Amino acid sequence: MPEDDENEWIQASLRGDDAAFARLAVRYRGRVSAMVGRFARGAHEREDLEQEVFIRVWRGLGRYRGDAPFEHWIMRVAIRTCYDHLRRHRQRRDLEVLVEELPIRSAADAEGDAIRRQREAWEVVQRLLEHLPEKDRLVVTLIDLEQKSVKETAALTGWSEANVKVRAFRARQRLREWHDRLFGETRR
Amino acid sequence: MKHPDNAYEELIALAREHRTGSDADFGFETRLLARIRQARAESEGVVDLFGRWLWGTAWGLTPVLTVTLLAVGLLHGFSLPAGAESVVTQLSDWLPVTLP
Repeated sequence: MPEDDENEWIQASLRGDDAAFARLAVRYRGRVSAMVGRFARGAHEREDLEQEVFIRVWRGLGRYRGDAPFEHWIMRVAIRTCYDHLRRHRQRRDLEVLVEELPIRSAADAEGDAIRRQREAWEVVQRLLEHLPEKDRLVVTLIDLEQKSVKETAALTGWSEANVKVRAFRARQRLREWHDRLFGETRR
Repeated sequence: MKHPDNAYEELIALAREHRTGSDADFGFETRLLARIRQARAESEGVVDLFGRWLWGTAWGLTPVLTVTLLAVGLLHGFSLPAGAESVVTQLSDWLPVTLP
């Protein structure tokens, strides 16, 4: 059974069995990768973040008490790692050049394949998100892009639900404002 | 013409669909194991360094402690405090050799 395997792998990892830890990491890599990808600029940064998450998991494995599913615990580690990453690597590219640099119009364009449009939309959203404070960015990413509930977001970040709601509301308002300022005229 | 709010929602919906993760291996497991070995070596290195520092300090303090003990001994004329002699005699009974 997968959960039994998982418990065995955790125990073996705690005894110093690196191969068992690698099996754990491979099992959760996809989910961690998708999450950290929301905060990374490019594949290299994402891969570095993935590694950082699993190194933190390896270091902190002794603190996992088993009172919550291992996936929840590992995702909390991933979120903390992403938050630290955002604080360390704050980079805000100028929003004003966004219209010229990125083909936002194609996001609403019927032409072009779906994957390209999704990628372009993601690039625009990423640029907008860069201008939010780290905590607001984390909250809006989890709720609006990862589609987590307020409760789940609060559990993942360790912040109160009220705090999460306020941050999400404020972040959405600002994002809409920037978006409309930059692209509103273009679309009309 | 699109309503700006709808355009924003559309943008978010499209961005949400964008796949940010990867399942492709590209040596993920190998790199992770290498980093774990490196992290372990570093942490063992710290313990090793601390151990060496501890021994070094202890050896460095040995002459100082020896001199201090000798000085205290000389000051007190190597005499045992009152009552200590009987303790020494009692303890010597446990030794396999006879004290002079």
